[in-house]
Amino acid sequence: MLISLDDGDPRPLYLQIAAAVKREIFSGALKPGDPLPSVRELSAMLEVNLHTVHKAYRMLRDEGILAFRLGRGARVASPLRPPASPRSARLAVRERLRDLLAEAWCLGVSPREVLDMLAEEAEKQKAPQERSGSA
Amino acid sequence: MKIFPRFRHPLWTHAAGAAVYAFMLYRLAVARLPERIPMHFDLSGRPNRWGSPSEFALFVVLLPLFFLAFGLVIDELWAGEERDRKRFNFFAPLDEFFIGLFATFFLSYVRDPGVVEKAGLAADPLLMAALAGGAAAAAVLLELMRPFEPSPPEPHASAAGAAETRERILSAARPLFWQAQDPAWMRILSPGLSLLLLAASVSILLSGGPAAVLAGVPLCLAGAAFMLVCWGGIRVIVNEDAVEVRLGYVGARLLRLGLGEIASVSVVDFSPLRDFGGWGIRYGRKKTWGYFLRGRRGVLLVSAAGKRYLLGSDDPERLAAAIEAMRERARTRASDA
Repeated sequence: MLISLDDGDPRPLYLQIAAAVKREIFSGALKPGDPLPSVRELSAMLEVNLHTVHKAYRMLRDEGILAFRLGRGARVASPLRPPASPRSARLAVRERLRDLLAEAWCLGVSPREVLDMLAEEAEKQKAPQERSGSA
Repeated sequence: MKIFPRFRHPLWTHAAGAAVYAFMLYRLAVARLPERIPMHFDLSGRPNRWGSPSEFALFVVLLPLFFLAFGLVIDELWAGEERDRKRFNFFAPLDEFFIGLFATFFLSYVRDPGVVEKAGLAADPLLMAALAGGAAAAAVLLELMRPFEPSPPEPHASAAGAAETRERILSAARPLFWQAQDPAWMRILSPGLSLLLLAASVSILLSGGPAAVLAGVPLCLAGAAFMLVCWGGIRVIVNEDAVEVRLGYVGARLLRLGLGEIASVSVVDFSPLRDFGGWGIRYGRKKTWGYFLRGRRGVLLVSAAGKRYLLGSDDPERLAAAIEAMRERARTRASDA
């Protein structure tokens, strides 16, 4: 698992950790059932507060991405829980896209360029379902 | 919980052990046991601890099961090592031999409980040869008859994953790479052996002499503590300063190799049994320290001083890419300074 924290990133640390875990699952580096570092271990390695990692893990658990089991620590949920409501999931993604476009505009990147970059990244990485379907 | 995707080693090679076990269960069911049964013996074979019939029955039911389960795990690990040709598994008759040996003492006792109480632990040599020798010989024969099925090659990770890892580490602000090997057998063995060793230390404390208590209890407690530390498997951490290997959730450090000390990084295939004689923390061929709990692929690190370390990995290409990228960062940082 590759995690990188950036002090210049406007997102709080726990969101950066959660995003890194999601990215690892999306890229296929972490598979359902794979272990993650314990909260204590990860906070020591990243030199952040215990509560920061705990908050990130709790958020991922609430989203159905991680599962905690006694004696087994944190693991990628198997199978990954689908969102409770596809409609609300799409609304949430749309909201984040709006934020992303606004962020890009502030950095001088046009919406068209963002669209091209998005298509390029989507082509490079297939979602876990598509990967398992093509295997 | 899946320990193995499926058994490659056929279960019928344990038929002799299972038959002896079934016969013991039958004899246990029909035997008339006394109220007080010797459960522990001193070095001269005299009983020094007594138990109830139910404790005795539990012991007779569980111990051969433990031998059989241990045999199953060893045989399956052995079968996993047979990639190109069948090799004779000399561990195969061990569980049958121990079950036969145990059955000999058990049958000698239930035949005439008074003899053991008066004359001490003894077994009929003919019965021992028939049971322990016969069961082991049958296991050897069955092992020879076992068909060969080559185990599938280890899956190789895509080069794209390694390239992406390198790119992300080089562009990240504070990167950290973490990998773990935490197989199911370790999650069973670690607490299981800890409990057994704790029980053994309590047993020694209650029934052993002063010498046994002084030597045995600290040894058992140290073993139990070590097995508990192993809970969580082996973890490899690569940060901007070093490559570290840690043990279990506790994170006991086994190795720390500064990035500047590493002379070469390479992905290698290896055989846990042939090259290291097993799994875990091992010192093996070519003076190499190995840290692995499963698989046959890993990353070989050679230090500037010529020391060799093999880190087992489920995705060695990615681990090697992460170490190389961190080294590149360290070199750039040093030249900038």
